[in-house]
Amino acid sequence: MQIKKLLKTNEFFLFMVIVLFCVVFGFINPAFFSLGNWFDILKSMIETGILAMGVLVVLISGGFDMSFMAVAVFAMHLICLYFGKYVNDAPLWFLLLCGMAVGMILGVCNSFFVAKCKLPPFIVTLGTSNIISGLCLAFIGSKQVNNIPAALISFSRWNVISVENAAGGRANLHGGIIILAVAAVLTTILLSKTMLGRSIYCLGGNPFSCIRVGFQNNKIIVFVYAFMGTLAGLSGLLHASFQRMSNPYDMVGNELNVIAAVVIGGPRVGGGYGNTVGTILGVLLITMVNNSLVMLRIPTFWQKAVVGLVIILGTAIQIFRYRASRGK
Amino acid sequence: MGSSFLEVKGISKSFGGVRALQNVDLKIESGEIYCLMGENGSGKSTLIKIISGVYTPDEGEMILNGKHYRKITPAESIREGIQIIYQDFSVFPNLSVSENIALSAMANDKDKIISKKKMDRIAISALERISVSLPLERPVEELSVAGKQIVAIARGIAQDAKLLVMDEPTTALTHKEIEALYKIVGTLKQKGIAVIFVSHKLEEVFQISERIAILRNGKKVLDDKTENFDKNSLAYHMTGREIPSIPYEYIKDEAQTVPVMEVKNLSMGNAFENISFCLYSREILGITGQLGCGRTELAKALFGIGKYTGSIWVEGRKADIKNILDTKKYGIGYVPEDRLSEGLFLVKPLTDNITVSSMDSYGSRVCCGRKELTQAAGGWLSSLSIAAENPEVLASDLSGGNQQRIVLAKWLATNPKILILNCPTVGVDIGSKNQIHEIIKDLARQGIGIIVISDDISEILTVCNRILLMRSGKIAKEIESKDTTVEELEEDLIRAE
Repeated sequence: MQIKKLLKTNEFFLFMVIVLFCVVFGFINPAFFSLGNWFDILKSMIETGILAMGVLVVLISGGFDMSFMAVAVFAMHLICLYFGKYVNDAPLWFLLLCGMAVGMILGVCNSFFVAKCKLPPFIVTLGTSNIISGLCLAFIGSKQVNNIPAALISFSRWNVISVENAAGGRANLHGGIIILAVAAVLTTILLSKTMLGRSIYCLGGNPFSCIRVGFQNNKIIVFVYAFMGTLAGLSGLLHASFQRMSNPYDMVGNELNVIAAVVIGGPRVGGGYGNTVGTILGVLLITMVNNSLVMLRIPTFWQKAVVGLVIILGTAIQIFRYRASRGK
Repeated sequence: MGSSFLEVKGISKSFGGVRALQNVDLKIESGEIYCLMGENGSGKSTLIKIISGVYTPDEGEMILNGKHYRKITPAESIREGIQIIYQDFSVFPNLSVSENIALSAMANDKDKIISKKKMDRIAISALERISVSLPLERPVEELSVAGKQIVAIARGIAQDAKLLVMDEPTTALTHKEIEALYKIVGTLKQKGIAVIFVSHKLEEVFQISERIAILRNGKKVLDDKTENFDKNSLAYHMTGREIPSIPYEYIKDEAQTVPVMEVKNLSMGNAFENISFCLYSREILGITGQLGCGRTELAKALFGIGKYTGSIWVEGRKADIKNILDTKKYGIGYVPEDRLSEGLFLVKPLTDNITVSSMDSYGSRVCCGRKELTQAAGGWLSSLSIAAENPEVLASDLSGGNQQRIVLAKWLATNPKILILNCPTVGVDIGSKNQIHEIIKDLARQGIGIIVISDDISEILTVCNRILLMRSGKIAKEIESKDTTVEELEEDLIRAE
């Protein structure tokens, strides 16, 4: 009974799609199954995955966020420039915490417009995204910062697993994966085990009932966007670390890649649905396709087209399955 | 009977100078089943919102469990044990049954962490108390309307409700489900839980309630034991006037030889099969049956929605109806069951709503002046006595009865030969209902063939001259209205299961 139920879930279906992709990729290029490749895929998942956790929570609440990349860049550039110049030896945890705080403040600004002014979140965050990017370039700086805090540089070299491969090189798994794992576990606990998390599902499921039950919708909305902002700030600093510099023109424009990865994982437009397992699988699928096309010697300009196709197919199949199950 | 649980004393409430409630008193005892009746706008919902703490009364006080409240907050109202079952049930479609039932109670306990064990325990005990079982893990969106209602009731019980207020609880239920609901209400009564039924359906009031209070124009006009009422006196007190109910008398047009519509062996998937009938002009044909018997699908098929097999003949010619545009060509009009989503453009003025289907007939083919449209719409407003200031008012600003008449006007403007009305008076109060019935009869006398689909037996009997009874997709019985009574037809309908 339990297994039968599991087989019917979206997550299982998504998992099978991933397995299928693996088989096809591995058949074309056996190097796909090498440890090095998998460590690379995992590393590429870190930034997208952390952002995806925030996007997931926003989507469940019935909201939307287009500004998280701008928030990430804002936090990244501010922290890197300031600490790089004045407090270059600040410890990593402090840097990350500062980045998260900056992100959280910007997220709360978003929620102000959504909760207090009752404006549509898509429009609000599209607007704030531009405002935040603009302010970042105008007040923090439009030039790339190479002198980023030392702790971020050394973090970029931190590997948790390092295995020597047959060719004599080393396959390294970056330590950032631990941060993603922690973020995913915390989000999972938040969503499934806490009243706050369940109230987010309630808000997405039926905002009017949510008030009648006695939840304070505005508080939930503030939390949701603050959570998104916090994770965006964190992922911004990780981005700077991986790039070993802070470029204010980075990241912005890639919002939809993250949103797509989340949407493939299950949430429905309008809110109320979705979970972290689906999201992680969605991120894995998108990252895997993105990373592996190069290995398969498919020209990079095809990459976008293929990712687009995966997004459409991924969501279309889910919707068809949903309709079929309703039809019964 | 126990002591009085809730006493409302001299409550008044005004909205911008309009007195919604004037000096209303109510007294409800524990375990009492109370019925609050009144037409739309009589102040029923205002009173409920005051009891539940959504509105603050201008004057008066409430005594709850012996405590005096000048005003009450929603949280206090819930703490004292008042639970409202709204018409939409306020459930969360995306969450499981047990979570829907238990979450509010757990939120009241200020739980920060969700314990699955506690959640299931609360849900199971709430369901046990109303003697119903539901699959706890099922998402609520997969339940039927009745199932969602049970979840809403159980949620109230889980929060230690002492008074359940049910707002029009039987609107979307089948006969069987209504019976089940009555049983639940009976169980609640035994447990000492009081129930307020808000309703304007005369039939159910007698079956369920012990006491009836009637509101009219914000005043309580009557409050008495149920056995001291009968249907006519109820209708009289609700509307303040006598409501005549004269059955429609069909006079056959001798010159007419072919039926205006004939349906031969119509079938659609698993919705209905082998439906055949004739409709003559001046006739009002009733189609009744329980929710899910295929009546709505049949109505839609006649109006070109959905794929069917079999044939439809209009005035002796075979009609090739594949979509809604075809039906307009043959002069068929359709007033849908759900006027809000299927029949009206709510945020558009009445002019647009009325003229949208008949646009071709105004002005030249290419363009038409707004003035002409407004004029035409104004004509319909007066001929159907629709209470609207002018044709530029938005459709969303009208009451249910008036909205229904706008949908009717839209199709009448196309000069139809055949009119299909699907539940024409759902959610319409008795006063307006009667006026709509008279309009329908008038139209038939003018020579339109009309099909009325409804599960309101008394409506079918007053309006129609002939009745088709549907039962799981087939016509089970064809009766002349004058050969049957409300009781007989009711029995036929219930036996259909």
